[in-house]
Amino acid sequence: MTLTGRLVRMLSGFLLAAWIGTAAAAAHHSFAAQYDANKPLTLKGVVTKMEWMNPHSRFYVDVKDDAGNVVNWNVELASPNVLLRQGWTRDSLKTGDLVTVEGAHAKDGSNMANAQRVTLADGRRVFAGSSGGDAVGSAIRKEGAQEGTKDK
Amino acid sequence: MRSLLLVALLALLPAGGFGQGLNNATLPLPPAMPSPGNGIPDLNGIWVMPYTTDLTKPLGGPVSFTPHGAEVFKNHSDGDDPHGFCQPTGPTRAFHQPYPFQLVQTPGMLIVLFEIDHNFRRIFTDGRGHPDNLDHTWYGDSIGKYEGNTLTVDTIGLNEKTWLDTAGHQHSDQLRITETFTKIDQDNITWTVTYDDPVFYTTPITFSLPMRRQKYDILEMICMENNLDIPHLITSQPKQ
Repeated sequence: MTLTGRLVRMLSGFLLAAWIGTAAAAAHHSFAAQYDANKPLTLKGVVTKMEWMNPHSRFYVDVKDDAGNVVNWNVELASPNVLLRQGWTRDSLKTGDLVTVEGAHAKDGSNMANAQRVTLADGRRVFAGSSGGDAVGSAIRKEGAQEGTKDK
Repeated sequence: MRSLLLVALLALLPAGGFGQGLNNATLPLPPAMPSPGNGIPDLNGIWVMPYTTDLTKPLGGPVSFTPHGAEVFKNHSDGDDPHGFCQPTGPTRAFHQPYPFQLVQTPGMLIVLFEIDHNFRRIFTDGRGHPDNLDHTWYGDSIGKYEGNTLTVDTIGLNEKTWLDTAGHQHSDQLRITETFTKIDQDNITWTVTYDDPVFYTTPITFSLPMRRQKYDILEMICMENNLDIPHLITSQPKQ
């Protein structure tokens, strides 16, 4: 491997660790209590249900596994309030949307994932609100634009 | 070499950074609240502190455990966190969660309305002392006193069921909490907390966090609404 290749690989690993390592399941409990930062995954599939509820918003997505079987995954987001302050609404994901989830797999091996980023049906790649630091930081950064007005 | 590192770093960044906000939500404004007057610092409003999962970060180093405290910390699992099961946060942990809270000053009492868990806390500022024969409860008994631009709060009577942070720093029912809320300017308060628990820590733990005024209202957050995590938490206890 070339020096550049080694650097890219090293930085890629560092960034992935930093990205997932800061996730904290939005305060309800430690990220590490349920999810494995060493098990990153990408899920591409169709949204079957959205739960805009506490302590975590969730959506369910049908994903084809390697054998071609459709598996329904439970994808965890931040709570509705944290998502709202990042610009989400309960209609941001709709049943039937084709989405891509980047996140971490549950430690117990169940078909659950903690989402870090979601690429929406329209191609936008957005924060999933799962990093608590992002949640407050985003609210502070955006407070000037969120004084009861629609922040476009 | 440095430029090579930078190029490699930039090559890994997706367009727009690591993600972006949706910016579609409409947030309600906070309610107007009258100043308390009488030389009392105006703490009314909606506030947040930085989300702090591990108190050793603002502390700047490790805590000093007693042998018992060290044993409890060593044996804990992240999944044991009482708040993972939607148990109460206790009087101070909710301050540094990623949810805002409202301070409401009334004559003789400061009320804290926590968005997280739709919970509240009362701090009596009417000059009373702690009750005799105080029971040990989740939020304890808090009394406060205004001096200059600072409110100092003393809390005792706590049970041992809460954690001080997400990292698993725990405490006994001998915990005494001292807090100061120092008004810096209209939009900033410095919160300093001291956890004094000789059962768990050989020296008191003291750290400060900034509180920043927010321009949106608190909302409703009900933890047990749909807590599907519980069966999947990795706890130190064997599964039933």
